[in-house]
Amino acid sequence: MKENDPIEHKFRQSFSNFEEEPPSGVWENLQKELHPPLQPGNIWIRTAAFFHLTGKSVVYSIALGGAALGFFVSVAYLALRDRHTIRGHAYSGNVRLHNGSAELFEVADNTIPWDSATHYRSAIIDNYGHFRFAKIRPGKYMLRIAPDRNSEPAKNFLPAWYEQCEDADSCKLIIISNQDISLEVHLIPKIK
Amino acid sequence: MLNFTDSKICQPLSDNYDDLISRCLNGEVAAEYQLYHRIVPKMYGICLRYGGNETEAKDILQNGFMLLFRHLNQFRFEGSFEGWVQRIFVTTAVNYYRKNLKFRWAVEYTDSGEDKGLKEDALSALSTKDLLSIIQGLPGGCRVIFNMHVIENYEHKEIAGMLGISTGNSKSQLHRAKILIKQRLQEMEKERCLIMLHERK
Repeated sequence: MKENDPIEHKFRQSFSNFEEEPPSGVWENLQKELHPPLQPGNIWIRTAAFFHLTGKSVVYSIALGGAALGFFVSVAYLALRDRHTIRGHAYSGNVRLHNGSAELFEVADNTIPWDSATHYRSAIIDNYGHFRFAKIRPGKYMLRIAPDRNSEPAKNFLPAWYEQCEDADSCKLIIISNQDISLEVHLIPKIK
Repeated sequence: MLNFTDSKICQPLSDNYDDLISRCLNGEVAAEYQLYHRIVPKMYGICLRYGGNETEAKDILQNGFMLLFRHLNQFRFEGSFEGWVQRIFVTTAVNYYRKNLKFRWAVEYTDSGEDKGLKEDALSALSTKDLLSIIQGLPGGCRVIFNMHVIENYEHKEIAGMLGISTGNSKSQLHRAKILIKQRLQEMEKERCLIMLHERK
């Protein structure tokens, strides 16, 4: 136990049995999420009422449905059109890394990249050291690779930021604009 | 939401978690209600520590209970149920911040004589409410790591694993949290002295 620090001791002691009554409405919201009201008949009744009141035909509703579907397909196409792939290989020394993980962080801020990095996606590094992030939107990214915790490379190498940095502060940013990117990342040898 | 005329809901209250859990797994809303009311004050206390304000704490509380009720069948009826629930809420809080938080990666903070002027009685005079406001005033990353390490007793290695950061980063965030807390304590001590002086006049 870390009892030497009076601040730690005070906080630990004060919050060991800390309880507080929650605001109202939490239970009600929880119940709505856990047991949503089931009203299967409602949608048919409403649809029937709509056609009855508006005097529209079934053909009209099919045409409307087709137009809505077309709209959604177009939106999905436009959203996915401008996406790219980041792929590459991870190395431990001169050899490809066998199994590990790669994590991609998106950078939003222009001035201090590491201050605005948010976790974007994770990928597995396979037996051949290969990793791939597909359908990445344009932007700035930071990449971090790490060997599997109990693997042989983990004994001799540290996780690294692209290209071969220990700290995120000094890592190289990956900029995705209108092309796929292929890169190599090297783990950092441990100093013995 | 809760209809007390329902025969299921009017069953006698139970003090046993195992029985309550079994009834929850059978879909009894009354059991869920009892379980919720038995653990919610303690869990909201955790959420308040991890959340920057009451709104965030409420979000974490709601997410935590959703996770709890949806994964209740994974409780093996071994060990402390409250301990298991507590871990769920800490994980929920961590995930909440992992999604939204902007970590300052691997920044080292230098210790600049932070003990200067901090008296022992400054600490002892503080109520839990004061301490909570100090925790909530910390930046998100520092707050999560301070809570995990100091109050939940997680090791830096575990924290690093859960947050996807390095052990060094976890240590430096904790160090930063302590410096900020000490600064805040010094400010509060000054405010207290000023109030006392004013009262004497």
